[in-house]
This record gives sequence, structure tokens and C-alpha cells, in this order.
Amino acid sequence: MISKLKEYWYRQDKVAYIFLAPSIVILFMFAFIPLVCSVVISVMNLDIFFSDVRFAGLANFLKAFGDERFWNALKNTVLFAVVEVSLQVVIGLLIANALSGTALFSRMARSVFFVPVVCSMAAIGIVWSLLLDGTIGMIPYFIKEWFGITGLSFFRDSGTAMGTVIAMTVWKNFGYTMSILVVGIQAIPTDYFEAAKIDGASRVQQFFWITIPQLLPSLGFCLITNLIGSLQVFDQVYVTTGGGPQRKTETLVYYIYKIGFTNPFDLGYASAISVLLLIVILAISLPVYFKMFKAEE
Amino acid sequence: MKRKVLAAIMTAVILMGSLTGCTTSAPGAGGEGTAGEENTAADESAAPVEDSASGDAAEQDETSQTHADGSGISIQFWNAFTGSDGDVLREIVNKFNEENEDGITIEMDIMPGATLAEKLASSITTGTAPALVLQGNMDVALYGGNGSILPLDDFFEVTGTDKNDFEQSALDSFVIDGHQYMIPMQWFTQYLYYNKDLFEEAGIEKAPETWEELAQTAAKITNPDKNVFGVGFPVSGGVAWFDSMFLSNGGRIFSDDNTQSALVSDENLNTLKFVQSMVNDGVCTKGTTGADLDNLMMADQLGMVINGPWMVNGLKENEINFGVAPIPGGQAGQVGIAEVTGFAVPKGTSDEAKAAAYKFIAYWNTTEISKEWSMRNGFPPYLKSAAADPEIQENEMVKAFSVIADYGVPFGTGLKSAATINSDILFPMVENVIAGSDPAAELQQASDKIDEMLSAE
Repeated sequence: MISKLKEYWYRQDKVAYIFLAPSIVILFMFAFIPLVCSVVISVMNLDIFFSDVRFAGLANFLKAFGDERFWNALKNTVLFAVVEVSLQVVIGLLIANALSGTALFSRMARSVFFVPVVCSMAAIGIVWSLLLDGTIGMIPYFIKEWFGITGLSFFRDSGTAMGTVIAMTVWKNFGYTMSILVVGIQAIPTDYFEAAKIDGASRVQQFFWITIPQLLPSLGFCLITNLIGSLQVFDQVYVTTGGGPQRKTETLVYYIYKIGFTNPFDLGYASAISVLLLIVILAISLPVYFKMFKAEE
Repeated sequence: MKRKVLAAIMTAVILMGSLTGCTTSAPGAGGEGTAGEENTAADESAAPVEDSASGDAAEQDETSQTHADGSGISIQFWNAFTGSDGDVLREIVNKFNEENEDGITIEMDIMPGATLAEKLASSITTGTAPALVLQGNMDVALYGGNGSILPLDDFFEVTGTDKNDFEQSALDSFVIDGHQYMIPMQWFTQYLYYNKDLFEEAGIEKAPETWEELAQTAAKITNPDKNVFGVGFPVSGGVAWFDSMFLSNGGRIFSDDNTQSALVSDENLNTLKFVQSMVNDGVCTKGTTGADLDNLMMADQLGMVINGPWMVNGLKENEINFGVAPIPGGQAGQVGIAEVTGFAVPKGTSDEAKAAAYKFIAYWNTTEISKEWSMRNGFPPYLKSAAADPEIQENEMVKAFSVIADYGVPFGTGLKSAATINSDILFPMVENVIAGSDPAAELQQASDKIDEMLSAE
């Protein structure tokens, strides 16, 4: 019996499933099942206490469309994602291009730029909010000493808060994009560059006509993963601004958290916004996906 | 092609995360955090909390609870006393653990307010809640109303605690539908803290008694060269000072039966204009949170601030020369929103664990412990026997804080959304006004939102 089982599962086309099993189990438990639950809860009137559970149909979605705080959060989220991802990819690309060599300096600089990536966003958020604090922060202090500009409070001023959160996120994350692009650049056959050089192409021309086209798959991957990640921005907002000032940095996931896990504990409405966020993410990332990977073919 | 498939799968996996939240790391530590902010109902950031195996402990409770009177068991006790008062609380809990003759062990877990709210709600639903928690009077309508906490009507009978020793208003703030859902642990209202050194430099001898005087005093103290502000009002993460200010100027927030907004009125409009004019004159801070104002106070850069009793210990630790005065008054006299913190026993707690919790609540409400809490933290006593104690009556801080009896009024009694109305509607309203928005428009908008929230009660 056992030997039969062994024989069956050891076959090359079957053994793969055994190796996949742990990942599939985890994916089911922490991704697929919660996803289905979210969708189900989004059409329910359900709070965290499970008191008064009722079917609500599309009421939660309609509520979102009439909720100015939802639209504000959506606007902030899209603004954050678009600016943060563009900056991150451009900066990552330029630095990757400059540091793709194997010289000691390049390798060291790449390691340094990668350090923030492995730090937790919560820790980085706290450090930056201390550094930039309007009253006790070191950076506003030096700005005041050197340039005489007073009253700067980056995270607390409604005009600068979002920009500061974006800048901090770019600073933390561009190292990730950079390292993927460095690998991509190193994979480009050197013959292309040599041939171009012989034909008299400048470095700028080489960059635009060889590096970028050859990098498109890597760029597409960076764009999509970063876009999806930044549309789910939460940690940095939670730690630094708490959605303020004047809800200028309140993003969708932060709003979902506020509705679902603080008073009024409305899981139904929070799930409905999660589903809307999924739709937004699909709407933004699918075109990028098709554009980028069509280009590859 | 393979690469394309791989990318598609990865994209799909990351997309899944958008609904399940598995790509974001755990909520991080607090950028804000006022000293002892456990009492402020408003927005607070939270710090990472070690889940101290609360689920396991709760399970152990179930198995080890063998005695009907609660003897010989361990119970969990959650609260948000992250400030220095938490140290005093811990000492008292430890003393109880050592001294009680029933072998009861209280395992206390202190966490930031936002984390407590998050964890408590889900633990009640999953049946893993602790046997004892501390909550505010603005939480009682929500938790009591939906049956998440147990009525404690028989507390006085079972423990023999004298009900008449309690200030009636403190007990009443925890009554929903005729049931006593929580038992008081402390109470407080809002006070005016002022920096005596800055007062002296500006040649001011006494704390302002009216809002008008406060504005004049603030103008004298403000010194842009030294980055010193006369007064600061939090726009989040602080006490609901605006409620007190509205009421003291003759305005109202709710109709008499708490079913409608009464926010739009000339009195309230004038109050907001008054605040805005102080900001425009540069004597009041702009866009500062409760934590920011704490920092300013500790740095000798702020003349005056409205806050609760918990601020005392931080000021003492930082050796600030400060004074505490009653909150300034307006045309309608002095009004400060009074809040009561109380013990609650969540749904699903076994009879044995509840009995053990009762013993600790009764211990807390002895004259001796009540006096210790007041003497060490300055909180005004709500037990008449403690208030009558000669040592208490001589304590300067306790005396200053005991004005709660003169002007403390409750806020939004019986409303589930009382705390949310403060944190999500009124705080953002004053934040906008302080940032320069039109007070009349802001008032109308906030009023509409309050009506909407009240209609869902």
C-alpha cells in the first residue's frame, strides 16, 4: 500500500505538487480564504462584535461613493502611488545605470543604498518623524541655523505632509528597484554597447537606445510591484502623520483600518472599500502589465 | 514566455495581498504619544505590542478555574496606562497579587490605547478577552449596548463595597439602560497648565480665569525670537478642549436629549472665531498634536495648555516650573468635560474569573488604595471617604484637580459614537479652523456629520 503511494507520488509530474504544497496551504490560508471572506463581508452589515449581522447588498459600496472621506483617501492614495513610483523608478534607474559596474565603489554604494530597504518602515518612520519634528527635530533646527527659515514642521503642515511621506518612502524603497535594475543591466550583453560605441553612439544614446529597451521587462516588474505596493500604503502614514494634517495623508488602507479596527468597528464597510481598492489596483496595474509584457514579446 | 507566466503569478500573489493586508508589516510604533494619554479618547498612534500569549493565557484560565469564588486563579487585565501612572498601577496590582488571601493572580498587560481598542474588540468576538479591562465612560455605550461587556449590577452586593461612598455622578456615567456596566477606577476633567517661569518673564502674576484673559496672557508670553508660544490647542491626540470651550461660552454640541446636533449657533461660531484670531495673532500654535504640545511644554516653549492630570508626572520629571489652574471660563461660567475611567468585565468571562475580577475591583475601591492613587498621581478622589482624608485635603495637586466637582460635566452620555464624534468630527473641525478655514462653514459641515452619526445610533 505504502509503496504504491510512494510510487505514485514520486513520479516526476506528481512530486512537484508535494513541493508546492506548503506554499499552496499558506496562500490558501492567508490570501485566498481571506480574499473570499472580504468579498462576502463587503455585502454584509457586520461589525467586529458580530452584533446585528445582516445582508446589506450593495449598500456598503453605495455608502462609499457618497463618502467624501473615501474619495479624499482615494485621491491621496493615487497621488501617493503615482508620484512615489515614478520617483522611485527614475531614481532607481539612474543610480542603477551609474553603479552597475563591478568596481569596489559601485558595490559598496549599492550596499549602502540597500540598507533602508531591509529596515522596517515603522522604525524608519519614527526616526524621520523625530528628525523632522517641528519643535525638537534636528533638520528644522539646522535649516533655521543655516538659512534662517523657521516654523518648518514637515509632517504637520498640510502643504508638506504628503510630500514628506513620499520622499521618505522613496528614500526607503529606491534601493530595491535599483538592485533589480542593476541585475537587469548586467544581463545586457556587452556586445551591444561595444557595437554602439564603434558606431559613435554617446553614453546618453546608449542609455536610451540600448539600456532602457533591454530593461523593459525588469522595469515593468518594478513598476507593477511598486504600484501595487504603494496603492496599499499604510505603515508610513500610520507611524508618521496618522492620516493628518486635515486628512491630507489619509490613504485608503489607513481609512480601512480606521473604519474596521477602531470605533465604529464596521467590518462590512471596511471590506467594501478593500474590494474597491482591489478594483482600483487592477484598473491601474493591468494596463501597465499588458503594456510592459506585450512590449517584451 | 516563462518569465511572463512567472511575472503574472507574482503579480497575482501581490494583488491578493491588497485584500488580505499581508504585504504590509505590522502597525508600527507611535509617532505621537502624550504622557499618559490613555485617557484621551482621540486619535492615538500605537506602538508594536508583543502579543503576550493572551490567547494562551485565556485558555489556561478556562482550565484552572476550579473555585467558584475565584480563589486560586489567574486573570488577565488589559489597560492603556502607558504613562508613568502605569508604574503606580503595576505596583498596586503586584501588591494585590501578594496580599490577597484567595491566591488570585492578576496578569496585567499595558498597551497603547489604539492597540487596546483593536485587540479588545476582536478578542471579545473570538472569546479570548481578558477578565478585566479599563475603559472610559465614552466607551460604555458601545460596549455595554452591544453586550460586549457584562453588567456588574451585583458588584456591591457580592463584594460588600459601600455604594454610597462613590460620587453618584461617577457611577452614573457607567449606567446604560439601568444597568451598571463599569465600576469607577479614576475620574478627571480638564485643567489649565501654565509655565511659571514664562509667566514671570512676562510679568504675569496669576493664571487667567477667562478665555479673554487667556488670550491677553498668551499675547504677553509669546516670543517668536525664542520660539515661545503663549498657548497651544491640540488638533488631535489630546483632550477635547473645544467641547469645554463651547459649553463655557454658552454654546452646545447636542440637543437636550442627545438626538440632534446643536453645534450651529452664534456662541459656537464666536468661540471658533476667537480661537482662529489667536492663531492669526501668532500667540497660539498651529496644527500641533497633543504629543507636540507635550514636547513644547517640556522644552519651556509653551505658556499654557489644557490637559488632564496625567501631565503632572511628565512635567515634574522634566523639572518644569509649572502650575495647575482650573480651566478658564466663558460667558456661561466654567465648564470642563469630565471623564471617568472604569473597570469592565468582557463578555465570555467565566463566573470564577468574574469573581476574581470583583475582588480586585473591590480592593481598588478601598479608601486606602484610592488614597494612594490620588496621592501619587494627583487624580481627584471619587470615593467620599478618600476625599475626606486629611492628607488628601492637604495635597496641593489633588486639591487643584478636585475642582472637577465644581465644573466637570459629562459628554455625550449614552451615545455610542461620543468618542468618534470628538475624534473624527470635532477634532478635524478645529484643525481646519486653526489652519484657516471659514469657521461658519466648518461648523455647518461638522453639524451635518454629527446629525448623520446620531441618526445611526
